[in-house]
Amino acid sequence: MTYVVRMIRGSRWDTESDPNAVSALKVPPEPLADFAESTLSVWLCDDLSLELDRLLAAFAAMRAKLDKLDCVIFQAKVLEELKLVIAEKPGATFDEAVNLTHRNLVGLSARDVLELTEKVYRERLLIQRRDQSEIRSLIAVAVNDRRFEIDRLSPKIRDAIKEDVARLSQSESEVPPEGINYQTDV
Amino acid sequence: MSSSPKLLDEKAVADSLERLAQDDELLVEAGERVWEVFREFVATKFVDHPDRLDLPLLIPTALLTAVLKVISPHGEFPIQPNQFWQIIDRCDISRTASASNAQMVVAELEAIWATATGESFEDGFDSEFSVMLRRFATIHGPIAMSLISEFVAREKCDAEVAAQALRCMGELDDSETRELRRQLLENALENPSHIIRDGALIGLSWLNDPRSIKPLEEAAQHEKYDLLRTELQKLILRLKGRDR
Repeated sequence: MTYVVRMIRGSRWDTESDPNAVSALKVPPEPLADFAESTLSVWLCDDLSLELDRLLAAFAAMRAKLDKLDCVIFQAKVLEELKLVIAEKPGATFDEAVNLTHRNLVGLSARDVLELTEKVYRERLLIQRRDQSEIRSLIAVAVNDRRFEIDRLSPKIRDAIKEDVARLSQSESEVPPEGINYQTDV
Repeated sequence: MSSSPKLLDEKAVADSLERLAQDDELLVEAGERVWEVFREFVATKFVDHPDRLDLPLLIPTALLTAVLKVISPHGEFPIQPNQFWQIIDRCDISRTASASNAQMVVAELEAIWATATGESFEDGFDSEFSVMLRRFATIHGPIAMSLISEFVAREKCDAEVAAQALRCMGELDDSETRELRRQLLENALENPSHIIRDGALIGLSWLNDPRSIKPLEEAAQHEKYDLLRTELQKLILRLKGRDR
């Protein structure tokens, strides 16, 4: 199954747990602010457990400073049901593999935006947040895995992740203590 | 042969006069707007105020507020942001503000708050509002904290602006106001708006102070919004881990 990921402000989409609460019955106007564009940038994911954090790290790494990141996740069939035009347009992150998963929803009318927002609000699978501390770790892992170079990051992010990157590379280079047999697959 | 005196170019004169008239109209419009804001300010602070503030003391503040609002980067007649800040700097309002210049500090915060109207905030990037607010908080210290708290609690306050203000207070690197900022953010966890409560949570996650665990736990217990409750619980766990 393919999922669509759109970066949002989570508090605009948050709902009350009580199914009879106003926010659960009616779509509030706030989420519209995250979708009100004629060209909407989205990302596709086939396996959320494997790909989502990589996408979030790549997206957050492009920013000026470390911050939390919110996204809404919904099924790709929502786009088909609304007959929206999807254009292949590589993303602009520092992670080339992530860039290939980027799409633009193009030529959206006011009605398209409204229908999409309503449908996603009601049928979304998840609202996910990674706080700034999680984002720091995700970017550090991405740098350590050489998905992109640390020099490409903004100075503020570079400073913030430096210790995490050093810790990661140190733990990788540590030699196992004598007497312990670490078996490896040949 | 002497040259004949140059005749006035009638068209150029007409154009100049028209330009002057347009400038004049603009000036009148700006003046009217300042006057409008001035009257609003006096009406709120003086006529409606239960303690009847001292009017002569209020007039300079009201004038300053009116002008700052109109010329602020998002006002009707904006000037360059750096020029705006030069003016603010010249007001020379220090952390040891007296009661009279405290009113000027209010005026300054009102002008900053006005810049947020219509500004779209993007995670991971500083907004003009957040830069100005952090600067304001650093200059005015404790008085700024109490004013920001008042502004956030206003009934008609724009929730997104208030949430942004709270996030900024969490991010601020200023040891002198750390305790006050923690209190401000913890109190805002009880705000009726879930968007403002979310701003308080994000601010507290920046402060990363284990002393916030108890208020966070209380907030998590009665939080009705799903994402907010999950994030409150996540922060509690993180702070508890740090506390060990």
